[in-house]
Amino acid sequence: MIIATDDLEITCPTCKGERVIKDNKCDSCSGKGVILTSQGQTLLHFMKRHLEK
Amino acid sequence: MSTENEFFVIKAKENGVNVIGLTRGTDTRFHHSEKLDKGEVMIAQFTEHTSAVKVRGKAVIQTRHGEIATDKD
Repeated sequence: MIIATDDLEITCPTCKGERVIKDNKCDSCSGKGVILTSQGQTLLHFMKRHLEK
Repeated sequence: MSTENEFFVIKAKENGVNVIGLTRGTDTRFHHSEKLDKGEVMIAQFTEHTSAVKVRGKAVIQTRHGEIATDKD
């Protein structure tokens, strides 16, 4: 199974991935520039859970 | 008006349709996204965390208020 980056996150449509709008942190994505998908969240939580141990 | 068990359906008409969930509360942020490829269907509900949904790309959305296609005026 191949997971593409697009399957994990998408570029924020408000700041277009720039993280900032007119030098202010983008509110829509909280300055991340991307929004995670459920697959992205799942993988992130799994990694976090097992890395902490 | 009961909103319990209410759901809506999104069917992608092209690859890479984005369904983005916006947070409920004072600040409206994008907290979640989902990528749909052509023909994929997503069935979703508004929840305590999600009060709005944004759909980008060619798709057909069915709600209890009717059906809407994103590519038609």
